[in-house]
Amino acid sequence: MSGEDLLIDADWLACVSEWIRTQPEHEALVAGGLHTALPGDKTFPMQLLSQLSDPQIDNDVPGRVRVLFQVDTWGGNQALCGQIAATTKALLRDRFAGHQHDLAVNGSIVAGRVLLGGTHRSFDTEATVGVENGKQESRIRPRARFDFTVPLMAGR
Amino acid sequence: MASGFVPSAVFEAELVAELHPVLEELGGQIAEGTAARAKDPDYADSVEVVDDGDGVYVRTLYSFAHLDEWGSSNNPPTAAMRTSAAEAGRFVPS
Repeated sequence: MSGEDLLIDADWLACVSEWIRTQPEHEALVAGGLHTALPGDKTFPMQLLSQLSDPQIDNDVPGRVRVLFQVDTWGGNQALCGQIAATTKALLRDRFAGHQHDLAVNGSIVAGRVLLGGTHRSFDTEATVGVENGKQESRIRPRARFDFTVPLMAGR
Repeated sequence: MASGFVPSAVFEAELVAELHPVLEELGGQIAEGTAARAKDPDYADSVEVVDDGDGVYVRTLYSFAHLDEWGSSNNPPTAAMRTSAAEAGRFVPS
């Protein structure tokens, strides 16, 4: 061992996921919850948060990285599916961006300006088995997806 | 003694001509990265770099590429093209 400090990047997926799922507006709408991997047993409406890129070092601020995420929403009727996606975007843009957040599990993080992509609303082409409104059924479900980038760094 | 600066009347065209080889190289990197990350071999084979004279872009005309790139409620996204674009520079969602 060289004795040098080893800098290990934070689990940004866990941090952003924890923040989104603890927002009251989000909890009220997404019965199936927010996941970071597709669950085997699905309850709809549900959301999936995927981290697409490795954190890229942001040369403007030491310790800050830029991360690309994708948010998928499935289930409900088209209106509810779109409303969940729109609510998530509003939370990211107006409450997450530009603030420090003290997370109960993952510690403190600082989010920079969130750049949101457009929402694409469609239906999945494959039927998915899952519980919705208390009933187990296999059907094609509405989907709303968008991606976003955000600069992130550890808080104090 | 004084000297003046006279900007080129065709500055934009000259700049674009200078930048094209760099953009083509970056496009090639993005296309290679996309092909390597794609799960569907037909998506991987379909990725191409296009130079239309005004700009350089990477594209696929494969009809099912979106399933690979964006995933579904049964399969996670590979995000092959977006990840490769982010690797090559500052990717901004649109």
